[in-house]
Amino acid sequence: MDTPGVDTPPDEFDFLKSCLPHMSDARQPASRATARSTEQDAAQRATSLIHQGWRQLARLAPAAPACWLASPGQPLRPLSRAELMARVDAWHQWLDNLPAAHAGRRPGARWVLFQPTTLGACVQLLALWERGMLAVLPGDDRPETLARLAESSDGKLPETSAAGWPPEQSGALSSTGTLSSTDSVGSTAAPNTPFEITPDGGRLALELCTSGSTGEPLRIAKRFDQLEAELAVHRALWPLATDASGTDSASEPSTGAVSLSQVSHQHIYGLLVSLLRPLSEGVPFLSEACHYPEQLAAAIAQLSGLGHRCQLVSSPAQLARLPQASDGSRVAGQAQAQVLRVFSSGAPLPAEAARHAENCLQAPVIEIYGSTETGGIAHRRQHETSDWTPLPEVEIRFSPAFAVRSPFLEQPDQWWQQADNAAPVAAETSSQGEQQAAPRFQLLGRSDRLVKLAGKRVSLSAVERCLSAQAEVLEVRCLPMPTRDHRLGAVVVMDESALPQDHASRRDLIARLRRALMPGFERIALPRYWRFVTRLPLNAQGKFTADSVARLFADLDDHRLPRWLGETSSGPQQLTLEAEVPDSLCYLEGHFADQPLVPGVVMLKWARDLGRRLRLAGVGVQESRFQRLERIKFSNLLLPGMRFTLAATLVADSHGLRVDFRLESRAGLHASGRLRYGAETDSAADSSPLSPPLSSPQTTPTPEAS
Amino acid sequence: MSDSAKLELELKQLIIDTLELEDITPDDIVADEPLFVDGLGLDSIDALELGLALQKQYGITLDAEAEDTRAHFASLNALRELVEARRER
Repeated sequence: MDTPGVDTPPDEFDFLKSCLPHMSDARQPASRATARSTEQDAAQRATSLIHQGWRQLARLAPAAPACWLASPGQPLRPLSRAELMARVDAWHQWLDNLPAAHAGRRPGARWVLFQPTTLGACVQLLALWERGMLAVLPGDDRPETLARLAESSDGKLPETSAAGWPPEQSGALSSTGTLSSTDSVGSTAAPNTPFEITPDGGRLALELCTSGSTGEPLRIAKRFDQLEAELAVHRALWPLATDASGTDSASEPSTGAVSLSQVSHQHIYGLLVSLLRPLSEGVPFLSEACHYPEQLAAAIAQLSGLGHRCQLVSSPAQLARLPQASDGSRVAGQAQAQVLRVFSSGAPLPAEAARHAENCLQAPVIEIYGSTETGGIAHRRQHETSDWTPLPEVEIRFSPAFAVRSPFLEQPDQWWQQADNAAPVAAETSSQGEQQAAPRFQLLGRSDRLVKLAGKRVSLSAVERCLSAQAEVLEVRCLPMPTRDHRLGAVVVMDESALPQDHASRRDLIARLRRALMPGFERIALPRYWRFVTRLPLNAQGKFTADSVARLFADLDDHRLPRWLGETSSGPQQLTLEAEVPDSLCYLEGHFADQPLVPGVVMLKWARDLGRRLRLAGVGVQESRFQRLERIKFSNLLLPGMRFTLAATLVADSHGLRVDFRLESRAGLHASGRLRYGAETDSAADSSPLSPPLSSPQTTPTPEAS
Repeated sequence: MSDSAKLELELKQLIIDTLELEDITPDDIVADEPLFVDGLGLDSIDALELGLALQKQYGITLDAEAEDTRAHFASLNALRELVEARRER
């Protein structure tokens, strides 16, 4: 843990002495002319992300809201810039209270930062940056991830309270203003800026971990000047100050926009667009991401009622999950042009989802194409065109391979080769007859998708293109099976009405798709395992990851499981599983001689397994408190190959907790009823029983669910 | 059920289990349809795996390169005849 920070430059302390007197202006995009000149220039540029930006904003208008604090079941309430600063100061205090020998006290220290809330990440980032420290942002907090980072960091910051305080400062201690361990001044003391640092833009700000769909995540470092350059481009393209009066949005409380997010700030896109962007412009942001459409609708409704317009930072996974027509009117009705714009990134947004989101939210949906290494590369609004337009400051070339060069890159003067294929769109001429400056392009899929199967090279992209050309196929992903050598699996997205509902229709569909591939491909390139879904199961960043693949094909190795084909959730207390009965399910035999079927007790077991993953105000059911089954009905037989949905809802009533479930298919209801659990007297809840878990509904099941 | 029919069902299940044909039940395998071309659409790796399974289950050793291996795997009927003729257990 006390490994010296290898990235620490030898003159780490120099900037402490050289507190430059000038203020950089947070509203002015940094001069782009210098961006690619020399590294020295970049290093000399002061960054506005730290003191000179947001501390300045806070001094000018301390009472202006910096953040809207979300608490379950309550309206949002504003947190002022001064209050936000108090939290940052409290985290300074926390760092100061570390033992003198702790390596995490020195400037240049590397701290692992994983926070469920945007507010928590915000105050910790600022506290670290003001102390000249580096934040390491993992994409998740699984023990293996943290163990991997532990060796190269000086420690992991603890989780903040829901309101952003350090652990020992939440509750009573924060109001006394003193810490029990020291006599030092606590959080409510007048905020004094502990270190007047004007850091240079060339300093490292943070390290990100890519969400890689295969293999080990890579760690990517970002300097302040890279982040600043990209923020400046966003400011210029998509202004947040909505009043046309030209009011100085930096010094005046911004009455206009509020930033809402549905994505994680632990990744580059969410960090930049949903956290650093509002922060650096003095625009308030919501304290936590809205993982559910209902949360989002409530936040938009409340903020609209107060006269705010919302900028939404979202992802394909979230936008595709906006409620369909019937409920959709709810979101749209309340939105009523109160949504300024919607961002989507992480993966291409299907055209249908883009249309749906624009309708539902009544706002332009802007997609950003990029990667952790490159930052943003291009943008588009599918309402206008499916072509991508490079962001300002980004240069693109198409030969010898698709590559980008921009001030957002670690090496701004070098071409970075993207793993995607792209083709330029024939340059249009403007009305003045001049050539369009930015060469627009189309993305053609990833270029690195050749796999070797039984010694033969197979292009997964080619298999996907062929399958996509079939009438019933909307989208398809082909992949080598992780646990089956030389075998391909295919995840096929189809319209709900076209999905196979039973053994025979599934078999016919597979035969049809295989026949379509036969003329053009080696036999070995024909997928063996097929999963038909209404949408690709994406993680919170919009990536189709190894986790999703594992869930889709888990029934191959565990013959007790239904075949998982996706799930939807309207909140932590509700889950609807989409699944099929695998022909290899181990429970099918032994009831009727000639008719394999799923016994009722197995349906109950599946309902129980799903119910265990539910949470109501942070509390779930405890198996030891299971009491009885209530109102159980078995209606239709559930046969191998059938596609079904299993919906479970956790309900609290006067007798305790119960899980209501329904298992249905196109053929009708198969089972329904309630699982009754005793009242929750002792605490199975975590330390903050009021806050629902913030994990995305598409994360892997919790261990107790297995 | 005759011995022959019993063996046929056994072989169907062996094919399904060995090759993990997740969308195929014994009823889906038609005894005189080709296994490898249109019918089940099996490939060369399947042939190898099936060969191994036959060896394990019935003690039949096949020469992977030999021409008649193809003939044995032509259909379920051909496979059944092979097992009936050459099984050692």
